[in-house]
Amino acid sequence: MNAALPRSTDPLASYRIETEPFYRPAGNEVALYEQAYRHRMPLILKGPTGCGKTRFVEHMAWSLGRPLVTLACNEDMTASDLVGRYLLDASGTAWHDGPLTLAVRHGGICYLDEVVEARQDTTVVIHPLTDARRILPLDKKGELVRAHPDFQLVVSYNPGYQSSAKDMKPSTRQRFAALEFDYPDSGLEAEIVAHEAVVGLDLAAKLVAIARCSRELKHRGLDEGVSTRMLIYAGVLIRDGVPPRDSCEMTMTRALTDDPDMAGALQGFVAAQFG
Amino acid sequence: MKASYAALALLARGLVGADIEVQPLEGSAGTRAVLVGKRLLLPAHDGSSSSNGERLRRATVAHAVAHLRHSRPARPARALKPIGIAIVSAIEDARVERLLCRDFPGVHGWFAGSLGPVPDPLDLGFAALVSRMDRMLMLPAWQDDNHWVNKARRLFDEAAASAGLEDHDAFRTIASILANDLGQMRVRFDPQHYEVPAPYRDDNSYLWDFGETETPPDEAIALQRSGARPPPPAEGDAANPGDGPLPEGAAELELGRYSYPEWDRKLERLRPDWCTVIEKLPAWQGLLPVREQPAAASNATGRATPLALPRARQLDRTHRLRRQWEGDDVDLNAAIEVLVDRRLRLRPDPRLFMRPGKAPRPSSVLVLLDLSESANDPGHGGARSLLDIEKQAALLLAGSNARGADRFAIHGFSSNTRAEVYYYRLLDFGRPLEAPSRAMIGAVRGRYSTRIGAALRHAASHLCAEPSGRRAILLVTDGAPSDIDVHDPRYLIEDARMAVAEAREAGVRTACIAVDGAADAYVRRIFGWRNYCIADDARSLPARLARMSARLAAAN
Repeated sequence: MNAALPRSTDPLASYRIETEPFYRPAGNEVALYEQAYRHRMPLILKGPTGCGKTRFVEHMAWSLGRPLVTLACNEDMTASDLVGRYLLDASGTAWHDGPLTLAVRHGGICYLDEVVEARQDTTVVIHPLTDARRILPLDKKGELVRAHPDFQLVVSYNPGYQSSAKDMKPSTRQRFAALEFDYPDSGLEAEIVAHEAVVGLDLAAKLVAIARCSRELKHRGLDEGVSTRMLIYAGVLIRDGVPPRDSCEMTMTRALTDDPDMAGALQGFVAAQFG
Repeated sequence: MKASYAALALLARGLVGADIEVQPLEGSAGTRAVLVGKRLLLPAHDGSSSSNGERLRRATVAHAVAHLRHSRPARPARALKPIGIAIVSAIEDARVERLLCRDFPGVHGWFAGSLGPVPDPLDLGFAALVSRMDRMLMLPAWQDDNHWVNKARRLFDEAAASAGLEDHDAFRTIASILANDLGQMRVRFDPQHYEVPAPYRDDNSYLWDFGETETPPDEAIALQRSGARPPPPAEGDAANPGDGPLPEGAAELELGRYSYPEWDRKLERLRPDWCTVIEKLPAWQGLLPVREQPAAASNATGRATPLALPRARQLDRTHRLRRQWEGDDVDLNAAIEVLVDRRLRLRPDPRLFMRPGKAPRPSSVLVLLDLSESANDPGHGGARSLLDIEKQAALLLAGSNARGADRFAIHGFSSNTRAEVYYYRLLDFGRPLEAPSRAMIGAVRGRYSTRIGAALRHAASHLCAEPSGRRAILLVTDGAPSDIDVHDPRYLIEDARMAVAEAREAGVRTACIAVDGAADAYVRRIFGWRNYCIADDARSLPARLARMSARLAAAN
């Protein structure tokens, strides 16, 4: 297995996660993921921005001892960006594997972040990988890559985020099992913020209360409320001595909205905690 | 100042978790806020400097939020004397504020900073005593030498410690004791001239149900005056001379009739040819050409700069960009030149890739305006009707779009039973936004009801004639579908849902902006959970409309 290879010959060495990423489970998602991985089942992780999807995958890759190849998808991404392309070198053209092909060949977990941002004709290249065939045809190269037994595909997307108004093709969706994420409940979220930002639990609880208020404004002018990640940013700045109001202004209010009314309301939530 | 009502409503929404309308209190001399159901009416405080005014308004909102979260509204007031009502209310105010401060520690500063001036310690009148009690209950470090005021603090703290702040009845008991004491002290209470001392607190009419037989204290009268605000005197009259009773069909030109099926949720099938959509030209000849002008002059936020719409970029595979620094494929011609250059020991041009170019795909967006009678209602806090705001938003959007390549249309509809669903093509696809269209949009009036399903089907049929690309309908409505020949409230909702599904199958996306805080339930049912947005304040409509249409145009 790859794990036994010396580092110098492991093509995915740089994708391995050395130290345990902090992740606090909110339910039984760890056990479910382990079951899914046992069968190499493709997974969709869905949930709002900054609720811990990526961190969860990192944690699972670490605990399973698999390298994690992460790709942030965007509208300009093409199939070649995933599977690879010919480049020119001294002797002519040479094929270079893309990140997906690397993970498929050498047995990594490939994580496509925000997969709906990629165009639908790009995402169809994962179809033969995500059914019983588990193959990746490289048509430009004329090669058929059979997936390494350890390979697994995980994608994430954020169903609440409307601005792209994009969706996955049903034929793509149907190949995946899905885990739904949401912001953890107040107590747990405060613990996470306290741990990640290294601040007191009291301060973390206040930050979480601000986030709770802002999440009430979803569909009322905000696409999404303050995320756990933003709270951690705010906490970090406060720990460094930035006054709480300035810190929240910088990491939440101004980051979330340009609308003066909305900003006023968010400032109100901050003031309702910090005076 | 005007815009800050929207900010305050959002603030309240976040703190309570339910929609609150915040509006100015008009037509009454009251200087205290009034909370009616989920509507908070703020008095106009003038003379206060802006930062103090802002804190006062926030404190008012927070106090109302405290009531909404922790008070039980409309308790029977009949058994209580006016002095009892005033004391129970004051204790209740203090109780719910403490509860709120527990969740939101920062609001204590808003409350403490917005208390009235410190009363003269020699003033033993009712208002002064209550004011001193308010201060004692709010500021733990405050000292007062009055026995009654100290007793209030002692009883309050004991009740909070023994029964807990949630126990309303315990606090009601101490309020009765305190009111009784005041009676014994012969403190005179004049309900006609008393108002709650703390300027940020509401008049507490929210807490009480005065019944019909009792004479309500004058606060309640103020409430009734302000609560049922009459619609502003028909502001449309001056601007829209066509608003008078127009002989039906006399001036409106009928363009065609179309039959559409309708979904019957009980039969679970489509009733064929059930609705008749009548396309008409609105009666606009000879009317004021552009109706939005006077409105714009009176409103600073009116005809502002055109909206900056994000442009969706789509890869266009028919269009290949050659000699790129990077790309999907090697451009063979360039690669050969590179190799030739190498052999010749020249410096090769490294740009040898090609990639697809970008071109905007044509997108067609049809904005469908709800022209039902209810759209004539005044928008929140403004003199303009919702219809005017709808029209202005649509025109603004059309104006912004006109500079781009997107195809854009504004249609409107109203219905008077299934036999007459009126449909107005106010601005058609591919037509420039010129005076006739503006005049037509200005002239169209809000009438009848809202049969969304039939209108959506007709709009979808128009869109299907558009060039392929992204096609979308954006419905702007102010309420649930309804019509006078339908009594089952779910019938038209289900029909509209079917119409949306049919449109989707035909490749037409639909989305909705509802100017109705309570629209969540039905709009979500009809359009699906991602395809709607709620503008609980009509003034935010133009911005929401722009964002939503940009989203639709960008959708795959």
